[in-house]
Amino acid sequence: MKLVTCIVRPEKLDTIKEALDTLHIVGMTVSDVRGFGRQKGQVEHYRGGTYTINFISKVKIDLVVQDEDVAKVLSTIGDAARTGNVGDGKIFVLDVENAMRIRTGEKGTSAL
Amino acid sequence: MSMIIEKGNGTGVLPPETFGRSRRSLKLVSCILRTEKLDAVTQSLNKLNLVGGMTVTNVRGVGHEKENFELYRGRSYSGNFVSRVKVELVIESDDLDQVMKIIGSEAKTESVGDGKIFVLNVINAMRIRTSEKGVDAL
Repeated sequence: MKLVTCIVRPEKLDTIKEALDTLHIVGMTVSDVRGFGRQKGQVEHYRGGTYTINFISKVKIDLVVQDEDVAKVLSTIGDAARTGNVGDGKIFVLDVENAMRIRTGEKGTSAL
Repeated sequence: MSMIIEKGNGTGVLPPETFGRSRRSLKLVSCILRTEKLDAVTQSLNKLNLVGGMTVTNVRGVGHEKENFELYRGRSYSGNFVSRVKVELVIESDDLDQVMKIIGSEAKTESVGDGKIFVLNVINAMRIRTSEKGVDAL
């Protein structure tokens, strides 16, 4: 199992959800986050030299998927979230050791 | 890098050697910090240009400070969730020590509740705009 964490534009959330629906990937956790990437938010010049690092609002989508679905999920989310402009976000893949469905106590991939 | 992507094993997960000869790998640094320390941490990290970006979430939690260390209007409260920020950044493993040292020294107040830093292995990363993978995505 892998944890796929995506930082994406908030307005792309619905598109991504629909795209994942077509893959029959259901179940995800969405959080409102703020952050910055390579551009350090917008760099503002204010009365000469000073600049501030602005945090930009994004949504973070966490989903746990089976190993064989990772490639599919990456390309699907990538296509759905892409605008071609800076700030499209990133996707990270992490290992998940185990999972459990709380209601039934099922473990491993059957908990997904 | 395109050649490297093709070497993937079809699971979207790159074998370790594709991170280059220096065995560069990715780490997720997840820190729970005092809200008021966020700016100091951000600024020091940016000064050194070590991080490509970070994600900040408002969280609440309980740590060892739960034993009546939070004071509100003169009363101490126990067992309440306290507000913290969670800062997540993905970096190259080579930079890990330096990043942890900076966060540790900037976030410290020496009283209970300064927070913790966790480090996790990241198998792969992708920049959505360009589909770059691995270390190049940072």
